[in-house]
Amino acid sequence: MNATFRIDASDPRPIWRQIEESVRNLVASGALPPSASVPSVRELARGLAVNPATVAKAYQRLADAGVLAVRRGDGTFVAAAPPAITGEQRGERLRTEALRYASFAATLGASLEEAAAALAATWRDLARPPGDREDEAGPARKGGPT
Amino acid sequence: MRGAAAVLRHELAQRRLLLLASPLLGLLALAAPLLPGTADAGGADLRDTAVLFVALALSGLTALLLGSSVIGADLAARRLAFFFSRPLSGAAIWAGKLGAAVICAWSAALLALLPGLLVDVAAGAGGSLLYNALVPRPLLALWLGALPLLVLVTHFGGVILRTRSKWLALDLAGAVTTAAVALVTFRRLQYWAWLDPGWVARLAAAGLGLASIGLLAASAAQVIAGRTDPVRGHRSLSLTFAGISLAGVLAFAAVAVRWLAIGPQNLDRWSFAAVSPGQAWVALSGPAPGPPEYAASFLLHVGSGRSLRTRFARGTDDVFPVAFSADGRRAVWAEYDGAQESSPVVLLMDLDRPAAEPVRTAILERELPGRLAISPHGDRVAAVEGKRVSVYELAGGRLLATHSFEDLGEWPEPVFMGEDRLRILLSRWNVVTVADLDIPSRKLVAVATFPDLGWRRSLSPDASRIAINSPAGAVAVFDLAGGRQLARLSQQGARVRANYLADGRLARQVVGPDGAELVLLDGDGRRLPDSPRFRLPPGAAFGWIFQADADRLLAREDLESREGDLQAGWKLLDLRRGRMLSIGPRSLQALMPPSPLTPAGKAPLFTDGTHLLRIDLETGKRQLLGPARPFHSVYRPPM
Amino acid sequence: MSLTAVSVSTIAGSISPKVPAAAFTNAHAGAAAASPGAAARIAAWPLAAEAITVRYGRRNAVDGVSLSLPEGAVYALLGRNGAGKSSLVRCLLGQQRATAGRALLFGRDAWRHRATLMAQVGVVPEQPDAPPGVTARQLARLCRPLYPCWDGSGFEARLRRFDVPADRPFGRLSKGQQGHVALALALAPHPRLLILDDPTLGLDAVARRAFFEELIGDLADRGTTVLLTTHDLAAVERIADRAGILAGGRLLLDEEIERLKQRFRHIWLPSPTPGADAALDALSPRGRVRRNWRVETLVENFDEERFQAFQASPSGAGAEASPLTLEEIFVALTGEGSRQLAPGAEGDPR
Repeated sequence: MNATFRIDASDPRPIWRQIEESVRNLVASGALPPSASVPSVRELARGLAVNPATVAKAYQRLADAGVLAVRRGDGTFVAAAPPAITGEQRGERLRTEALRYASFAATLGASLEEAAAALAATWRDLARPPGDREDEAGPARKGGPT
Repeated sequence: MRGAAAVLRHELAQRRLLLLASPLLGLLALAAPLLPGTADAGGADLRDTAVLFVALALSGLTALLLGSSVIGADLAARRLAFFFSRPLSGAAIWAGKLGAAVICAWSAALLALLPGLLVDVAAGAGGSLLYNALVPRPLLALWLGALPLLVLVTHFGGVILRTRSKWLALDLAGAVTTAAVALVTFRRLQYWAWLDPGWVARLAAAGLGLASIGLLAASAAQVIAGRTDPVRGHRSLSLTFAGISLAGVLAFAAVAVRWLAIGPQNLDRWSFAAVSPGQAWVALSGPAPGPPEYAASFLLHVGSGRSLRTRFARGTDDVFPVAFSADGRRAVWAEYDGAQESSPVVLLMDLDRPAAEPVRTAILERELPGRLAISPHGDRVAAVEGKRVSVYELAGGRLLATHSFEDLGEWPEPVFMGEDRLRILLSRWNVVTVADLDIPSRKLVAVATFPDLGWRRSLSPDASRIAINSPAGAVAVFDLAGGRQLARLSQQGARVRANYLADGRLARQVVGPDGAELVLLDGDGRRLPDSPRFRLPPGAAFGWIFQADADRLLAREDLESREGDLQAGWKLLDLRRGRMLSIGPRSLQALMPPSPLTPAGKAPLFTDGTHLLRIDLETGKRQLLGPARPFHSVYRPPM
Repeated sequence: MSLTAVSVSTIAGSISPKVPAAAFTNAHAGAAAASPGAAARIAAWPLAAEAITVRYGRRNAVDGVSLSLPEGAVYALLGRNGAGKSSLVRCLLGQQRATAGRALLFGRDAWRHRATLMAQVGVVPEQPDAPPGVTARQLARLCRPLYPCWDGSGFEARLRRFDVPADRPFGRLSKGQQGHVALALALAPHPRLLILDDPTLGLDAVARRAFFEELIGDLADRGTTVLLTTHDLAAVERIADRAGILAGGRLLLDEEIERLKQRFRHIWLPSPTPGADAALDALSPRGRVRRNWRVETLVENFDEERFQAFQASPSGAGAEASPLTLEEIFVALTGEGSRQLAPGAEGDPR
């Protein structure tokens, strides 16, 4: 999981929020299947080079929300039945990111059609099996710590 | 404690190499006899000396290097914070590091000696190394004791030189001031208190001890208060050391001032007192509070209470000659010019004015005169140096006449007979010779010779007769012109004593089992029919008899005991009425002229232990003159 | 804006049994003013500086600085060279006497009780200060009896992880290795408080990364309280939960990094319009610079609603707000242009 996301310093969101949301996204996308083990606070903190208390805070919230489950003695795992993101939550999240994308496109002077076309093309790329992907620049492909 | 031990062990472990090298160097020194050119020096002695030299040099170098670096280097390189960031008290850091430097120095010395010692023991000499003549054992022990001091000194110097902060000014100022105060005080003490070498050694040791304490406290303050800041460390170091050394030296100076700034009333007691003819001045001395054998001497003007500090007393019993002229207008005495017993001078003072100051005469003698005599009008002085009698003109110091004698048992006794004639009494074996020195012609004329029956001599006022008291208890009266015995005063089963009075009569007392009896004789020793008799009970006797005036005598009553005479008190002997009156209690002591040949006057001076007073012998009235101290004379003036 | 307190103790052991409750509170002064009881509690925290002033001659190197660290906090003290960081750290370590004010460690005066307090404090200095002729192992042998507990195997393990030969004299180690030894020595007695004075100065990226990983591991295992002075702002952003900026001896800022980043925004207008200045002023800017064709404004206390209103307004059309990294905030507050951008800033940034 370490390789799956980075902490973005220029992101206004607090680091714990970034971690929390990344984990949520990984779980929701299936990259972290139910009952899979996740790195310990210590490991993740070291891997991301962040304060363990920050990671602990994110994990706490995830545990409270039912996304992660802690089994004493065994470690931390994805919950057997992680709560699905409600349609409302998903819609809200999509709108947030969409606002960002739309603002960006607007500064380039692109029209709605152009932006939508680019979005659709990227979506199709992601859905293809890994071997077929043209763009291998995703951070998931690159190994090593952030 | 645990912290200091940890630091100590750490520092010692870092200097393992040095400790390893020491015995090796000591081993090398054993090969000294193999060096070329040393064939004639004793092999064992040379070896021992080489080993000792190596040990001393190595330990000294270690102390120097480690003392300046063990804390100083870390401080300068900003590495001391390593220790201060650990749970170590400042004291532990200081003690551990400096302790390691000292232990290294000691170990270097002892380890370097080890091979030599082993060889000595193996050769059967049994530690002769330590009995080396060149470096005796006390010196070795002293050296080992000096090593910690060396460490402290180099640490101090290292801090100062490395930091180079403005506190250097305080260090210098403090050192200069301390040294100046110490030196000035020491010289003053030497001059006024005659410090002997034992005392000098003691003062030096005290000074060294103070410096050591100062260095120790200063180095601790530097580490504990200064911590990692070199400048603050220097500040603590300077303030502590300057504070301690200045406080110590100022205390020393204060004590010295207390010892030196004294007057006659501050002496423990008066042990020597001589009143001038005319009773205007008293020359006195006595032990004073301060170093042992510290005595101070003064010339006290009775009327005004003004006292002049002089140096004619070197100890309680050691008083240099003081002489008053017969007209009471001049005094001379002998002193040493400096603090050492060198360059003696003869000082002169006109006694006419109370504000008089002594003047150095131009009289030069090689040694301090043993006796001084001054002519009746004070123009000439006779000085006795060893076996030589010299007469000088006081004004100008011109030598008028001198004569050297041989085969003398004592110093010659000079007595002026007028301004131009000096009568000299010479003791040789059992014979007393009287010689007259004619000053203008410088010729010595033998006058008389007679057997010396004793040691108590009383010369008549005109120096024509002499009464000699023998220890056996007899008195012989001689005519000095021809040497003829005029009288022999003795009594079976009793002791006879006699001395001349100022008017030429002889006061004779017989001390027997049923008491003492005093009677007056004429100058030749013949009875005077109208002389009253005075008696004292058994066990009491009169001392010197002084003449107050034509009708009154003053005599001291001595109680004879096994330990010696105890002074009981002074008695007034009224010759007209034949009565003996006690002047006062035993504590009342009279201050008499140097010799009974000078009249004591109608109102002689006394002291009751706290006051100086004059007692009018006619009326018995007392007049308080000023403060005084108990007077118990152990000094018997000559004649 | 209040932040919820995270009570991690409700999570069972496997996450991190030793991360203690960290109460993220507001600025030190505010809480102290709240009640005297609060002030006393704060004074008993692992580290508290109370109005510390350090004066050299006429100059105040540290001027009335107050800050405090609760248990488990990681505090980054930032400042340009000469801002007074080292003097402050020396006061906190009891190695220098403050001209005024107190430095308290665990509620006790640092200057007076330094020797006993250092048993609970690990120190990594800016310059390596171990004696150069001593090996790492000998240093451990020196330090071990001084502390109540000493993790010797942990020390050796750390040296191995850092690839530091335990028997080479300290002076012959590389700078990075020396820093690692210093950290290992500081962590071995399991201190409750760590004070690191620019520990990664002069270290290459690899050594720096290894250093922080070791520190994070210790934080995860034991929840040590940490005070860190550094120029490595990227690392600060991730590791520290609170930051203070020292400039001219004064503490310009002292708050949580999260909150700091939420408060500051960089707004730029592509083309300034007549009403833009006034409207920008209403956003409580910290300073404004006009560069060629656009206006850049650093806004403190950013408010999302107000900005959106501004964007919607005619003078604010095309305005963009972007967040700043900690480094940018730091430079803006203390850099050369800081006086331009921050007219209300106190003190000399130098």
